[in-house]
Amino acid sequence: MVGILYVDPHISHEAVRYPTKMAANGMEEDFDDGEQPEITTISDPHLRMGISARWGAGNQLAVHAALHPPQEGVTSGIRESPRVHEVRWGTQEVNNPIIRKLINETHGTFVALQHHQPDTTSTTSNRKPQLSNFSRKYRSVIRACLMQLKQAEEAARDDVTAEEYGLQVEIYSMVELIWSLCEILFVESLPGGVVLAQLLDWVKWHFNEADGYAREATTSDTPHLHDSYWSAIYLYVLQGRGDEARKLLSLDPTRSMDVYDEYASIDELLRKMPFFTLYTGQSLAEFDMKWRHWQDECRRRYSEGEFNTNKNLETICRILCGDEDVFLELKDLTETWYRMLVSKLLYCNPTVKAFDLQYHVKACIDAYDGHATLGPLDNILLAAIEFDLHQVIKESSSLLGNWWFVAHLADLLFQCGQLESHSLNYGSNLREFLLLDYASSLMSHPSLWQVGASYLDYCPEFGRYYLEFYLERLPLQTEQKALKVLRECEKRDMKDISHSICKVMGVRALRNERLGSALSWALRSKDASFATFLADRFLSEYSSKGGFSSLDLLDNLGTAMVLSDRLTFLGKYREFHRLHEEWEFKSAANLLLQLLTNRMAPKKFWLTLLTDALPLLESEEVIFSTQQTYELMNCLEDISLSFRSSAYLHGDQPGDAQLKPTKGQQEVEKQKLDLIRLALARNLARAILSEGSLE
Amino acid sequence: MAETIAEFVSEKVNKIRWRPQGPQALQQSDVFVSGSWDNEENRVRLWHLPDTPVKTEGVAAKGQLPARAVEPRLLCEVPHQGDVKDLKFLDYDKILAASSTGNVTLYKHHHNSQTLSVGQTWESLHHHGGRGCPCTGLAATLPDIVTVGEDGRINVVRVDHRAPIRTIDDADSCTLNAVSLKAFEVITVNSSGQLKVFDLRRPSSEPTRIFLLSGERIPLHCLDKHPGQPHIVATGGQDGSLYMWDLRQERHPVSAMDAHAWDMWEVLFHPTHPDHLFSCSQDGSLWHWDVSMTTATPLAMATPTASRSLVFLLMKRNRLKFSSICVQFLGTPFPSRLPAASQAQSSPWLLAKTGKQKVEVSSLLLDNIMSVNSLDIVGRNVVCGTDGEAIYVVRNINIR
Repeated sequence: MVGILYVDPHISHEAVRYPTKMAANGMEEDFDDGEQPEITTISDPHLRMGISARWGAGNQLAVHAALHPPQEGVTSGIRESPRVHEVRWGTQEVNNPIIRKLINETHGTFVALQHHQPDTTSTTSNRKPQLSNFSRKYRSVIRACLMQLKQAEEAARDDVTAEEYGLQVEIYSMVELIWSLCEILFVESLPGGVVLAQLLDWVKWHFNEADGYAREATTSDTPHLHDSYWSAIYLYVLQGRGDEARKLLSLDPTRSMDVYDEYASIDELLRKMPFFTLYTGQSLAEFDMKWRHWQDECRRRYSEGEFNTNKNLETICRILCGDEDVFLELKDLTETWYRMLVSKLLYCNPTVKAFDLQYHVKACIDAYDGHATLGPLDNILLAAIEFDLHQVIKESSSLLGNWWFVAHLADLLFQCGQLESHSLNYGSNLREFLLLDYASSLMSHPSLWQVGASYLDYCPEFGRYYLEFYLERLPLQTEQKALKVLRECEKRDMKDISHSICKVMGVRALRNERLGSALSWALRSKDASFATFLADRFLSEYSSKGGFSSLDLLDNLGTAMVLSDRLTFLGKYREFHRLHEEWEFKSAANLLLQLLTNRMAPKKFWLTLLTDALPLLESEEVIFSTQQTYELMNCLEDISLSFRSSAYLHGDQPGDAQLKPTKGQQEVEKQKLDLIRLALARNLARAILSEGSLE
Repeated sequence: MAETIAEFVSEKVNKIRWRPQGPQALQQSDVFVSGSWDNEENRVRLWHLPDTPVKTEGVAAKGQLPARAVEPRLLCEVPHQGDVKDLKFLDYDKILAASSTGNVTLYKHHHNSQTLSVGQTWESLHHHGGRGCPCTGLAATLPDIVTVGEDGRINVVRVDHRAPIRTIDDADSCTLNAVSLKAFEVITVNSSGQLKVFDLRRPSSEPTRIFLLSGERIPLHCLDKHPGQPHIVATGGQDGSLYMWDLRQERHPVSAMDAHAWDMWEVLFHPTHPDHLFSCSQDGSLWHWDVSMTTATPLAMATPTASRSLVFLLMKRNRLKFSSICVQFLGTPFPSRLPAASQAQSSPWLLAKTGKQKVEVSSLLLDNIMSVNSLDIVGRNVVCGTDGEAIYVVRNINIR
């Protein structure tokens, strides 16, 4: 976990500082970049004396006032009850219901992507189509999310919510834009590296003002005179959408059919414009030839002055000819350097390779006032075009403040084999670092811990350690939740954590005086010492109340009772009672004797056992044989001796003064012993008689 | 052919129930209620499932509209205190909800304004010395409503009575996880593998009978009674197996069938076609069990039992791949101590263990990985809710 807590003595109210946006490359570098940590002020006068904090679940700190270092004899001087402040960060967007859908929906895709890897042992080139499928799945979820965000923004009742959603719309529009560019450049990477067709699709998909202009123009009474008419046509041409441009052109009524028809001429050029598509079996050289041919024809018609009379058509023709100046003239229509880049490449260099894109960038950026004015989004796209993935991810994480995007993108690129060379001096690698942070933000959410746990599974180096910490700290409100957390532990073979969860639940049940429930938790985790403790509680409950609770459980312990000796004794002792109740005196007596002679019963319980033997000794029928009676007498002597020992008289340990039996208790016990002795003697006499008479 | 519709709902769904048909309605129910858990603010939500529109051919691949039109639409919602542990429609417009706070709340659905409102709340029905503890299950045959909880208590309440009319305090020493009620007979399952039957007519708080799993004490999470033959009870528990009990007979289940990899959270008989059964699990699967195909001649007993576990092993391994597997159940870990004649031809579910009955199991969700917490079935439509914050509706299931 990355995070620093600063205590600044110069500020009257101590402040907790932490970076809200931790860029992918770690903290130190952030500060080198001059990014200031964000300061949050907690207004609590007590914090003046000092401040201390503990990590909570994920991006959460519990901050409280404390002396540093704690000094003996120095009181805090706080009169009213001290406060604990909870500081959270980076969890806001997780609370947005639409983003939660995105998180859950992409979780499935993410896991499928991880599992898909080992299935295909084939080379990377064969995996490409599958990987781009995954990329498209992600993108379709982003798109769905974006649409819902837009709907929510429109439907928002108050400005604050609308603004919030507006912000998210902005972020996810950028996410979609960056993702699709990365998909084209890194995931799909077509044979031969010709990317223009994809880039055109990219521009078409994200920037559809042309359709808007066209709609405005065509819905007016005189489309050709509408302001947007030519803008729409230019944009269509710039995006390589010849058919749409031709349709719009045909609406112009000033077109004179009788004289030389320059409209027909431009229409023909647009119609004949060749496109390079992969799947038509056309070779690059073939296309290049066709293209030159077509563009030569454009240039010829332009230089022959065919469009001199119509400035607008002339502009179109200049675009088709790939005239550099015309793109500068139209830069207000293309709006951004990257759109200009695509348009320009379409007419100047249609067979450009992905790796060569960066050489064409500068001119376009210069057209829009140069590098200095580039915004963060531009920088990200630029870095992508320059194939600097590290930079893409770094800039994205600081711009978007959103771990979802960078974590998934980094993972996808990692799966494509594009990210292998990046190893970091902290953490294991960039992918894992980002996944850890994304998972941490999920773990900070009260409800998304299952999704977070699943992401941590795919962080080979640190995931498990993180997960252990998180799972241990999850609040367990209900048994069902405890069972689910236990299941997550068992899945990953985290014995210690599951043990401690069972213990927590068991102790909680114990506090609620639900001994049966507590015992079932102890049995579940095979916690022998806790089971022994609980068995003792059952026994002392029996001694004080003269009966057992939780009979349904005790009677059906079965093989579970072997977990601890004490529990076995408890189970057997209860069995003795049952046999007694069922008038099975003979077997009851045998069981009782067995409990005493094989030393299964704790010594302090012997007297109770012998007292239980009384009714059996006094029954009409002789139950204990002479041999058995001798053994009982042996036990009786054993405890009478121990009653005289100092350990019994003065407590087992020196500190156990309160356990020391009172005078009255000693008297009662002495009477009991005498009674048992008498009963044993009488039984012995009867047993000798009956055994003698049998012979 | 079955089709699956998924809707992400931004909350983990713990319980889901179809609404029973209205008084005049002829077609099957298209409204269901869902309850969330583990959220900062949990909710009870009512959903409407629109009819499948006529398939329009040639719709653009990117077009979202045809896909969205059949997804469940939110009708109304109401905040709920604590996790929603169980839901039950008392009738057409009354929903009973059990909470992890120990409260049980009756919600009324107002059709005209499409709102849910609180009709009545029984506070802390389940508690440890006054402090509320989760109420885990509900059952009702009006006017009686029975609730069970982690405190091992059974409460009988009635609508319009503020206090419970009967409370059995120490019904169980462990947590009671689910309950079923028929006339005066209450059946519960607990977290130490026991199934208990209580008779509400008797004054004693002792169960009339206790049934238990032999061997390991596996917590049981859910139960359902056969709609036609109330002595047949299906339960599922922590090990994911399906246990069939015959309440007229043994102390132990009649059959145990290895099923899901992890905890089975809910099991339900089809209300009108009881030869079909549905179960869902923590491992993310939703299964349809079918015993309607009776084989005329008993199968040769030569097939070793091992093959059964092998098939299941394969099923577990390829959990996400198989669509339908036929399984022959032969033998059972619980040897019958009763003469075979006494259970002859009683129900295909009880025959499943003798090898005379063919059980066909098919998986209804193929790509889900998160726990399926609840399911409900009406007609040929199954609805289920998951920890992946999704509701799945599977339409047109093959029911013979």
